[in-house]
Amino acid sequence: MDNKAKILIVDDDIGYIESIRAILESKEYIVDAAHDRESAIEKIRKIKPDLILLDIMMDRLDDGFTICYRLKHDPELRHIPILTISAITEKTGFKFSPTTDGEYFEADDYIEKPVKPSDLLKRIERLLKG
Amino acid sequence: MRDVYTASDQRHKMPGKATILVIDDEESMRDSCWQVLTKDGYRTETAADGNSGLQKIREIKPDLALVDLKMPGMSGMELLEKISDIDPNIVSVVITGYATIESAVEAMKRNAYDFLPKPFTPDQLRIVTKRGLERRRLALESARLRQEKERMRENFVALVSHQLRSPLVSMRQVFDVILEGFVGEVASKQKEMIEEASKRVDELLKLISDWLDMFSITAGKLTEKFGPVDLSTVLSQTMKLLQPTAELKKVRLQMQPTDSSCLVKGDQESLKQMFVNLMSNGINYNREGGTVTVSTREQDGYLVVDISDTGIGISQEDLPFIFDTFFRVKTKETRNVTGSGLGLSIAKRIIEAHNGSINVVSELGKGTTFSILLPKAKMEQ
Repeated sequence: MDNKAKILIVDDDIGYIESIRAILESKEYIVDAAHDRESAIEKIRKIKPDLILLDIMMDRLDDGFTICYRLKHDPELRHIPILTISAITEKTGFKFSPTTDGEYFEADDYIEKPVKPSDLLKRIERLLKG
Repeated sequence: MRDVYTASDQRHKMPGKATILVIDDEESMRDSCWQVLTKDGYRTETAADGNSGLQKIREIKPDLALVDLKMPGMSGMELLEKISDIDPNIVSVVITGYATIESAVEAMKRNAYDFLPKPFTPDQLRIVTKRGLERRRLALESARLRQEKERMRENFVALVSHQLRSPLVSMRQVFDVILEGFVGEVASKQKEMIEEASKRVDELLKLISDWLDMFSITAGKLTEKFGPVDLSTVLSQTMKLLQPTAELKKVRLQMQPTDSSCLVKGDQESLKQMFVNLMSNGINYNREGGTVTVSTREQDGYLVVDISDTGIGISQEDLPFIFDTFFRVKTKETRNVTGSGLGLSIAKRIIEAHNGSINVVSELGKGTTFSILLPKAKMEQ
């Protein structure tokens, strides 16, 4: 059995996925991607990734929140670590964090776009060790 | 004049018929008002005293209420206040037999819009009613516009952050991945050009972020975060933050020691941003070997921070415009300085949100001094 972790990138920006994929594949992670809310949830159930990189604003501005909420309230999926990646800054007024938003945002970590590749890899490693 | 809703009189038309409530203890008065107003096409209801009047107000939510000032039980004055509590947009018109200036003033204070002294003619009633309804229409319309504007502003901010920032951030990410060699070796000339492109993207991101700042400051959200702030801490943090930039430009950044207390009431983050904007101007519009000096002093209950540079200075013609949004001084010396033209306007808005002010003195070729005045916080001990 392959020991390398499976990571699912959920983002509606295909170009962005490709750049993140390049970073992850340099460390030989197995990378898969989904571009919208429904296909993301479907794929998560099917492939059971070891970690999810989740964008917040997709078709709807709160798609990421919805996905996060559904996963963390599903006994079979709630153990999968979620690292949210978003371009929202606090300036938009959409202030949120796992500590202030409690059950509505139970992501395991949060990182701002654009990410520094080394920072991203470090956080992923930490979450996978869990 | 039978029907107020004729084609030529559309501007008085509300959605459906306007509803008017007449509250008067005199039956003859209620009846005559009812007749005139109903004939004119209004939906008219009556009440004989304050309590039943209030009940009807809640039930039928009239556009306009005609209120007799002198009634047994609840007085007209009291009634006016209660109507306004239920819905401040209901226009109240006072009817009274003892039309004195005092009672008129008193009624106006309680949110009455107009005054109808007894006895009045049907035409006088019509005019006052029409005017009152027009007033209501305008009030509702402007409330609607204000709401619309607020919604647009919020949507715009969301749009800016999502639609404009996302593609730029994505570009920036691609550049990083290429530059760090994740997709193969990059030749040095290629690297140089991608770095240049990446820098330009950063400038654009900065512009958008500055713009979002402008919105959040105007929105008056800043005051919610006010607390005691020690300016000397903020100033030294800012100087530390800008030290690398200053070194790069070969400019010396120095703070003059002070013994006055530097406590103000405000939002630490935005005050820091304001100082960053002002000091980085001092650095960027300076020359090699120049200095930026920061000092604080007290003046009439205000804390004054002076930021002086030995830079290129601002001409008298440009000086009045430097706080305008998107204004940038265009000379040979400023050509290589990049910026959004928002730095000073943001700084000024932040200062004004703190009930302070900013002054500038400048001499071309010699340098510029910005003086920031902020009200001192009272020591609560």
